[in-house]
Amino acid sequence: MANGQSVGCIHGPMNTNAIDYYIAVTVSAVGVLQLAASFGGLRGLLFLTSPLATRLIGLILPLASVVWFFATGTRNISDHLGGLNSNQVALLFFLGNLTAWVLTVTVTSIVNSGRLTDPQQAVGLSRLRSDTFYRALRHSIRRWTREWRTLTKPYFSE
Amino acid sequence: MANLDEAIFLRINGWVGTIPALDHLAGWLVSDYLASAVLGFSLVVLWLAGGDDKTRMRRQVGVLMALVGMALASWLVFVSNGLFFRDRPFIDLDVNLLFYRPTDSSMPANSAAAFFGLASAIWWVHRRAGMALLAVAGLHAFLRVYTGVHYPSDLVVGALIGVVGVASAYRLKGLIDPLPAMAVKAARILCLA
Repeated sequence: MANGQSVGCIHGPMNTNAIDYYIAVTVSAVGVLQLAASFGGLRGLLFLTSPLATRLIGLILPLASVVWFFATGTRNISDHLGGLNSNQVALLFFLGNLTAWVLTVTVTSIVNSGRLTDPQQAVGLSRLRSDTFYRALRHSIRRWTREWRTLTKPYFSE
Repeated sequence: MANLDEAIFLRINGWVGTIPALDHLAGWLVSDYLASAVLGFSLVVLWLAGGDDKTRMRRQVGVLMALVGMALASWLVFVSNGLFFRDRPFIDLDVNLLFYRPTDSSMPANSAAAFFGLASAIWWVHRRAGMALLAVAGLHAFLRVYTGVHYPSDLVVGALIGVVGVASAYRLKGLIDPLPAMAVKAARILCLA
């Protein structure tokens, strides 16, 4: 044990490195999702309508969280002394991205519900060019429950 | 050959202390967190930022193959660690160490295997992004020598394992072929692809 941290496991008494890494990944991922959605033209995933402001947010959030993460503690620590091993880093990276995705689709579904009122006939991510995530998801699930026999055919062919 | 490896290591590691701010930055860049996050986020961007449906499908299959390739590379590193152990440079040499003291085998460098594997897999589906990420992986590898945790040959072998892992994943793609595309199509139902 070092500084009251757990040894080699995330779920110990307050592994601050794990919590800080998770927060930094989540904040960075929100920014990265904004950048990716902006470049992919997925308006349903954008917080703001201005492309410039979106891309600025997409750059500032990851940079700020990296600076915050490294400036607020000693991060190069062995996993035997309270650091994170590669499996823990991978798990927290996944959880941070998942959190950022849920946050992004929830907030953007609310703020864009009045803006995107004329969705195109597309499926999957492509529908997010002109629709919000939750509306697109509802549309996709309804379509699947109604027409699943016809729709499953192409999934078993190239 | 071992002498050449040591000589290159000592030359590069000997630059530590020349510019203290650079040493501080190297500590950030070489950490277990930053380069892996950059490569991971590049997969997220590649997944989302396709043009038309066909391009997006090709890139998303590429992302899945990158993950399969990285898993294969990690397995190869795991196997080689069971067969072969090399001490870290700070065990045998007088080193300027800017990192903690890892206890696993110095060769092959598992970070190089993972990063070069991911970067080469991305290069397969997006040349420009792949080249940029290969540069990130190369910088990370150089800094692992600079900060005193690896010999240069550890990183070369690690990088080769990463590239071989990805190449093997693409060779195996013929066997599992409809599966990656089916996984992407299934994710489309949940508007995730």
